[in-house]
Amino acid sequence: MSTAIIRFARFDLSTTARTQPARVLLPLLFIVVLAATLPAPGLGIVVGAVIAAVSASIPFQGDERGRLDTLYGVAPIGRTAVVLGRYVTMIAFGIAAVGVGTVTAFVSASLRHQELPWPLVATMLLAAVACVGVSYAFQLPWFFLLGFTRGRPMIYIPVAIVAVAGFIAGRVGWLEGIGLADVLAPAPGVAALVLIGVIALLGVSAAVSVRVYRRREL
Amino acid sequence: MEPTLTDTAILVRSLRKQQGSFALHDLDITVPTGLVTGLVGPNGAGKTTLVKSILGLVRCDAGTISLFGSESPTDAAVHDRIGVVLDQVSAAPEWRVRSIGGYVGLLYRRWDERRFRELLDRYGVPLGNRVSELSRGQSVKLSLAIALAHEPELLVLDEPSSGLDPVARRDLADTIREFVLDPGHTVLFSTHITAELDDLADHLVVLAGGAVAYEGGVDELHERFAVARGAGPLPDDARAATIGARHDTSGRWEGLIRTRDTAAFGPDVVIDPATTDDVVIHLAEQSRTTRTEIPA
Repeated sequence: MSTAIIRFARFDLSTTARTQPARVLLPLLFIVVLAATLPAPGLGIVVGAVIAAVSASIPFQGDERGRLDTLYGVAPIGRTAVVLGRYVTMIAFGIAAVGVGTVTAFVSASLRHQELPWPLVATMLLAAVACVGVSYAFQLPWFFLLGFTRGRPMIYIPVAIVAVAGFIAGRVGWLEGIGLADVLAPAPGVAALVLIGVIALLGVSAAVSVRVYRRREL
Repeated sequence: MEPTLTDTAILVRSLRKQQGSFALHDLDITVPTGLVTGLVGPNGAGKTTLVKSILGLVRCDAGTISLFGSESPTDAAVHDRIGVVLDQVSAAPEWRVRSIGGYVGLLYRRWDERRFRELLDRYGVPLGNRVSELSRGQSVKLSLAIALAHEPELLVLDEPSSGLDPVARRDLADTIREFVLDPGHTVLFSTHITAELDDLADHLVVLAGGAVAYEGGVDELHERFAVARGAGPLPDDARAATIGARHDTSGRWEGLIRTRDTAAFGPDVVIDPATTDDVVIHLAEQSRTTRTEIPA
């Protein structure tokens, strides 16, 4: 990874965490509260993934408030490094959010003397990676193209997709009779396919983001 | 003679940029190394669009921009050599001044935190304040400290003095003078307050209506132009020699003339030396009415 990407990711992570702590910590706190109170502890992982999926706009909001896009434009950093560094930031945030959800799920299960079977955890984590990866892959180019204010409607699209998918699955009856305990561990081939698919999608997404951000007028 | 790249910090050739109904038309501009170049013109003349094009913040539709010989205005190595002060500071409102070097310094390879602190101290920017708590003058000084902390060779300022009080404007001018004491240092200073350039700039680019109305030395501008003032209708023979003539409500007229055309005006016409302000006003007026470049 080039030093410019690392320099930008360090800048992005430190400024977002230190200067917008409420915007970063509140979602993580929300994950803890929700994951701890849900009846099935395993759902904490899903909560972490959903919160991460809808948080892609956070650093772009900071860019706009501080006119930081102009700072990136005049600094010797290059627009490609800005884009790739931002992907590193978001992946780190996604890992943190899903990690918080996972830890809370284990702690919650332990306190309730409930079992949290590994096949369930593995499936949930795989679903979380897919959910966060697909969400970032579609949202980030949008924000690089339009910025936070004009791109804001995109924040709600992942939530809407999850809600609609859940509604359809419920109406069709796909979820009937399925308990969390029945969930099997994903087959290694399926897991590998999902991971490769997410990485490929993020790669294509980053390429699109670089292209649109290079053309964007700051 | 076409300037060479070694004595030119910025070379703009045939630059075109359309933004809505506004356009920059085939701009040719040279910013010589070691000098202060003033970029002046009325509001809407295209100064900010030109500065942003030079910095690679906006894409031009046609033409070339060369910075230190590189034709890629977004080249990171080139930006390492440039300090930029825009009309508003690029820093999050909640950042504290003392923390800014720790953040922004990550984006620069040659960031000198000690120099940044020295500049803040010298400019009297309160370290404990948040960016949102700074006055306009303090914000400009913070921008200057950020721009100078990585030892740039070229300082680009876009309307930094708008809204500054006279003391802050003098401090800004002092900083620029000090910066160009190094013969390798260059300044491009965009402003619509032309008076502050009179004893600061060596070279001037006057933009009007998206075109270059004048480019050359400041002294040469004052030698080349004068202001003619008279009463009543402007005689036809004098009209041809007058640039951007304007009538006031009392029927008096005023126009820019080339000093070589002074003989075209009779004894009733008062000829005064032109200030930079006069030149900008009349070239802009001419551009507004004819949309053509002013011949030398």
